[in-house]
Amino acid sequence: MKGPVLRVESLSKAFGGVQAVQEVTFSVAAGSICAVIGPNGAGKSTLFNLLTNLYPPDRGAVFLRGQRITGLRPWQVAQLGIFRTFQTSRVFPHMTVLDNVMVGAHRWSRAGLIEQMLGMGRTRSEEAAMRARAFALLEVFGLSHRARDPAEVLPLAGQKYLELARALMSEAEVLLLDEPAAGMNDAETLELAQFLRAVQETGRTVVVVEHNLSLVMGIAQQVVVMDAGRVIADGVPEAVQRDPTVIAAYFGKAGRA
Amino acid sequence: MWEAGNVALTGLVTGGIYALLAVGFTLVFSVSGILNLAQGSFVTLGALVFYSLVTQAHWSLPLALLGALGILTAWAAVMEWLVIRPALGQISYTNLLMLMGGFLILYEGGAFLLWGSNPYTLPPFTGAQPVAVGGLKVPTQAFWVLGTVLVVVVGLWYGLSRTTFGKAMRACSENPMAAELMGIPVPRMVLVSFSLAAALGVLAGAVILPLTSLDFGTMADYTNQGLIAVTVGGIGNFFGSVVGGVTLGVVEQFLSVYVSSLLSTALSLVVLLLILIFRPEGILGTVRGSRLDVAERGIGRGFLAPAIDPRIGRGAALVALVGLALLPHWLQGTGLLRAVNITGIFCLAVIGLDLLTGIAGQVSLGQAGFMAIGGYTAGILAVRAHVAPWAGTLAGVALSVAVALLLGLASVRVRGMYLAISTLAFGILVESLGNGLSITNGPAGLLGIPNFSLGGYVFASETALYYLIWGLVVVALFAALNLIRSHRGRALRAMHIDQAGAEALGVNTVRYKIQAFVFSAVLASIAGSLYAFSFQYLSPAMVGSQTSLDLMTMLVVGGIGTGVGPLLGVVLLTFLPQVSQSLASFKLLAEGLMLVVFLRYLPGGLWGTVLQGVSAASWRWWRASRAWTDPTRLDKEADA
Repeated sequence: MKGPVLRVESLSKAFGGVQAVQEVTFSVAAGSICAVIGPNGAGKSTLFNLLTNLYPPDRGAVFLRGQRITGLRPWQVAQLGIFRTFQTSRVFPHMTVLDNVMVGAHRWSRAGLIEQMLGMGRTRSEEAAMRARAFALLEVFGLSHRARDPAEVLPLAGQKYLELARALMSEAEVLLLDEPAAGMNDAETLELAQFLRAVQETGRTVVVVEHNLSLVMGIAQQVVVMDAGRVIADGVPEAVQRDPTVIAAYFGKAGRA
Repeated sequence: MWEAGNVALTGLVTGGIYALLAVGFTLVFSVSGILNLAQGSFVTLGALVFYSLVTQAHWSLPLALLGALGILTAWAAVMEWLVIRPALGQISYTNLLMLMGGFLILYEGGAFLLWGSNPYTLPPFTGAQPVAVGGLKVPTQAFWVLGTVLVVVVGLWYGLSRTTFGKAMRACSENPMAAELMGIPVPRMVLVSFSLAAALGVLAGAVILPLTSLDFGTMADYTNQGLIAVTVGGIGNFFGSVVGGVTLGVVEQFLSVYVSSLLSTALSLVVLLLILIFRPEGILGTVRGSRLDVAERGIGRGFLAPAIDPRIGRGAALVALVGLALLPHWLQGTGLLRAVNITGIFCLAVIGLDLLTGIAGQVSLGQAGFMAIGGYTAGILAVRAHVAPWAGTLAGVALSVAVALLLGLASVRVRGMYLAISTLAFGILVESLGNGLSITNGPAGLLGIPNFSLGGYVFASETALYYLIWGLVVVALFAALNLIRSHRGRALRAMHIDQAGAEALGVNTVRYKIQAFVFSAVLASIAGSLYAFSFQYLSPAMVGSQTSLDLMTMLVVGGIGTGVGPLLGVVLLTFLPQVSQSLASFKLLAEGLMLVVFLRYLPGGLWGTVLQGVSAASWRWWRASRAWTDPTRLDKEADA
């Protein structure tokens, strides 16, 4: 077992009088898939927004490989190696599918302004490397035949895959996926599970917020259960599934519904 | 003591007019989200129609007022129904703002054709002798102005707060979709708000006409003042608008009497900029938060320029270069070279603006402000200190970079429409400084600027200037196209579409915005310097807010965000009016019309439309041969 890559310490955030996230503490082992689950309004998305510093936490901190990242700008967090997707599809609609993937390479683009204006130096080799990598990823997700189409014409599942391809393009160490299966049918969800396993095999760490429990239980090594802003369980899927608090807060309600 | 009272009174009267303007802005903005840059046109148009009905048709004053109200509110309603309503939800709010700018130019051009450039005025409605109250001299017309303002404000307040109709209107401004679901006819509300705003303008124009004189050029001034007033008070805030208008009128009057009449506009613009940057909700307004993890997707169709085959692109570039090199030879003796050179100068500025606005998405309606900085710095240094033109040009660039850094920093705080207003204010500020300072020689313009020279060689002939200017255009275009196609260009476009989304990818948006501002400012500044050297003269109007709107129109007409396309717009709007005087008098009208038509119907501009036509023909073939899906082929091309 490798050490934790991501460590969250007593993270708290309130909006007005609502404690959206309260004293959340957990850590994620490098190279694992960690699922954050919980009923609607449990604070999962807020947690993601706090992890990437979309807004500042009231208390607590987040550490990436021991380095404190709380207080950095969102782009700095991405540069350091935490890359997120959003709950609602966030492709750039009027850019081509290919450009959407290539822009994900921003973390490792090194060409300077002057080099790019002259079209010299690292610009060309970097561009060629990005394009080759992007095509390879689009091939994996079955989107290469649409590379020159505007991203907005892709169906929802295609846009979700496009976001995944972009996230992989970034070569980031940690991927935070906010409900990647939202809007997907069963077949597509199964496919997604395969992709996530493949991502894990490349050595990356995946933290995923998901409603689809069958997806989560099948692939995750760690499940963090949230309810009303708090972590109520944290462990391997089998243990979490048996946890009475979880059953009461989550499965219990679902069973009665 | 009485003097201050008289100053306050004059300020109050002007402030009343500003209040009506500001309320007009607020009404339209609340209901539709549109910032109606054409609002000021209705003051002038109202006054001019009123004047014609009184003096030429010999109608009585009340009848003429009703006539002007009828004609112009109907006109505003028709425009809303014909152009604006279909555009709502189709194009972004920033583009809607520019669309309204198009209407402003259109009305200016129309008024110029119908009424010429003479200023008009009327005698006071009643009694020419001012009423004396102690030492206070009140012109009788002031009673009419203040009375009208009072009646309108109280009437509107009652109408908006107490009637069902007013409540429905307020519901539209809170949440148009919910209002629609509640059965409120939102489109009709938008129509009413535009007509009502037009009527407010007409009333203001009619009652102020005896106290001032109006020509077609005053439209933009009224729009600007109304904009300042409504920003101070808080856009969308009814009482804030009234207070903002009155305050602006009084403060401006005191400033112009006790400080400097030429700098009063500049000072009020500085206040506007500070408010926009530090308190965009206005002094009296309240801010509304927004969710950051949901994309604030710009509504409407975007334009994705079709890719050109690199081989064709390279071939066309080569042909164009050879053509450019030979052009002076072909044009020998035609006298057209001067127009070609001026076209080149504007090309420089537009290339930068396209990167800033078309690619990076930072709308600048004050780009001519940088031309002014470049032109005046180089010109003043050359005239008053005999600094070499190239050194003066560089000094202008340095100053422009400093200002661009400031504006770039402002763009970090201020986004979208508010940035557009800030840049507009910046442009007007520079223009009013050009008019107000003595070092620039004011509105008369700076005379005696030498020819451009470099290391002893004087660029005195048009041919020499041609190679200098167009050489720079080629270099600038090369750099801009490379940037657009590079990874940085991609990141800029991503930032344009979704700022928080781009940040999540690791894009340092602050730095990229500032880079884009600086790049565009450098080009505009050089263009301004060359402009001054080639005319050997520079006046504030040459590089004023109208020029900023011209630049934006060229961009939109040519094809915003397409790199090469905007140059077509420059040729159309600079070269043609330069060559033909008869075309020049229709320039404003045509420009406004084009801005409206292209923003509304052809978002890709001339270039995009042509390109789409061409590529549609070859598209199927490309798809069939799967040319784009073979990565190795593209790489081979890129390496070739």
